[in-house]
Amino acid sequence: MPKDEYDPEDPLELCGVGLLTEEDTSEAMTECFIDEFLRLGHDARQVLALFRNRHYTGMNMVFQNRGEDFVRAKITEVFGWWKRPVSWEEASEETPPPAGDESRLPVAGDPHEGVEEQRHTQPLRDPMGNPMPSLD
Amino acid sequence: MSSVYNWQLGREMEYPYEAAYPDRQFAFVFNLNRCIGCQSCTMACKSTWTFNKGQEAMWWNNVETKPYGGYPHHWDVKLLNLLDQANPGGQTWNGTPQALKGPYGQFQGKTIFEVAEKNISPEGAQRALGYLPADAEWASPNRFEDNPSASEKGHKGQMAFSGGELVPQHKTWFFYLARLCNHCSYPACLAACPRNAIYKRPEDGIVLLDQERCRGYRKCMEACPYKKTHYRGTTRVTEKCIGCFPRVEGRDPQGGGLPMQTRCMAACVGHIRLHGLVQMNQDGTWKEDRQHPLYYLVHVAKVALPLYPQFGTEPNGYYIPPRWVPRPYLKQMFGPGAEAAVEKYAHPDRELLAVLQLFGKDARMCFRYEIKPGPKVFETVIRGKPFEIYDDTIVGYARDGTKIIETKVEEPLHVRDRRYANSI
Ligand code: SF4
Ligand code: SF4
Ligand code: SF4
Repeated sequence: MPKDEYDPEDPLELCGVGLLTEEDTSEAMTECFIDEFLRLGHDARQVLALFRNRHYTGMNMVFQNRGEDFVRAKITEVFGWWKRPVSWEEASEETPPPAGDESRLPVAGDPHEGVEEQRHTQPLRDPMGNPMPSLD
Repeated sequence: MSSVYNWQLGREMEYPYEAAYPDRQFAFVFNLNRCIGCQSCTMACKSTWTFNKGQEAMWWNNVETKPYGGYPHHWDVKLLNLLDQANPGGQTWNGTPQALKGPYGQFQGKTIFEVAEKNISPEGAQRALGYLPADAEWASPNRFEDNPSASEKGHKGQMAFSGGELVPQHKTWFFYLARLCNHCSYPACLAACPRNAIYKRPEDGIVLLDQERCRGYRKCMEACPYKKTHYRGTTRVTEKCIGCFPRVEGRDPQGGGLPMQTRCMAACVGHIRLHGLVQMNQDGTWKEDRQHPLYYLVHVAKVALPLYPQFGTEPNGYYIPPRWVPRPYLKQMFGPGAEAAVEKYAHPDRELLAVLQLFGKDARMCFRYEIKPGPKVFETVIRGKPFEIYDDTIVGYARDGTKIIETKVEEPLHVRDRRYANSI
């Protein structure tokens, strides 16, 4: 429920914490997410776009912490289990993403890097890729 | 206290009333591997039932991010602690699983009913061990969730969805736990109510709270281990999930007279939910109903497990545990069946793959399924285990035998034109 300003008195305010642990289950989590989206009918490139998308927090966490190479390798592996060979060359990065593709959103790196710039130089887009009205 | 049989615990247990079972029981299975925490379910319930004055902090359906989140805060940790204090080190399971009467072995510990007499409050012994959350604990239902937060101070006009950059990142495993009232077979809310305002319907096992009888003593809130009854300050009585009973009865015009899944089930965009009515035996166990999808998931495949069965209320919400979560956590939350359930889900067999296709396909309730065998697509080995895929067709039928679902294991993906992205 986004709204204008953070209000600590608001009982509906959303907040988050990080809890550190030694237990890293990100590999199993990665496999599960790939598996589920594959079963839903997504192709390898669509799954990669979800990992790049900050709105999919769990997937994006893996992407940021373990890197794109790891994610691509896992996608190739899980798709391989399902006898769906993945060729990353075919899905060239140079191909412009179709309208509404999630990979238009900012990708990994410093969470704030480029965001300000994007906010002021490009029309904002919602998660479906539609332009959003400026509130400035 | 009476002695009643709790099949989830594989033994008799004490309960303040005599056993009485409905003909059919409201039950549901949630696949936690698929929940994306979108809260569509939460909003479907809120916009249907709890949008009035005094209901602002009332979320009959909620989705919390485990292990941090909870609504009310730390509800499960608090109760687990109370149970551990009452029976230190004794909350264990053993015994051999037996079909229908004890699929998870036997619980050796004590339920909230069995330790209650020792838990003396100023008003005397409790009927079920519990605690009354403070008002502040019901606030911030999304606390510790990883949804986007609001704008930073001094940055008016930022929108949380403009880039997702305000999403705090959890540094460890987490998953979304969607919850609503479990319409328990031995409801603690009902047991604790001094006014007998809470009752369980004989036709479908839905647990309802009579607001004419309720005087707002909040004993149910204290006793419900899942904290799923809610006090309303404006009316000074308590309210709870009503199981969308008009839909379950087939009175929603959309269903054409057939029982429908509840609002929160039908609205689930992640297709994680399957809701139905299961047949009960007179001894409180589930009647064998091999082609009922919920019977199959709970008693045959055993991939779906009750939430905190050790509390003893025999909840009717079942969960396919998330594959990536450390096993001790899953065993605490879903009982000793967790390891096998995860294993089965990670290496699904032919029937399970087909039945999973029923989730989220039609808002009407499915009472029976049939699988029409299709060709073998391939065979392979996944993590050392053989795995075969058949493109079977699964057909689901409503109560009166109407065909409501027909889909394949290798389901085609259709992408809706973006012009209609938000149309229903
Ligand atoms: S979950 Fe709580 S409110 Fe619902 S029936 Fe069980 S004890 Fe009662
Ligand atoms: S079953 Fe109906 S009343 Fe209960 S939580 Fe779901 S939508 Fe709300
Ligand atoms: S609508 Fe479904 S996917 Fe979304 S939060 Fe609710 S249970 Fe999870």
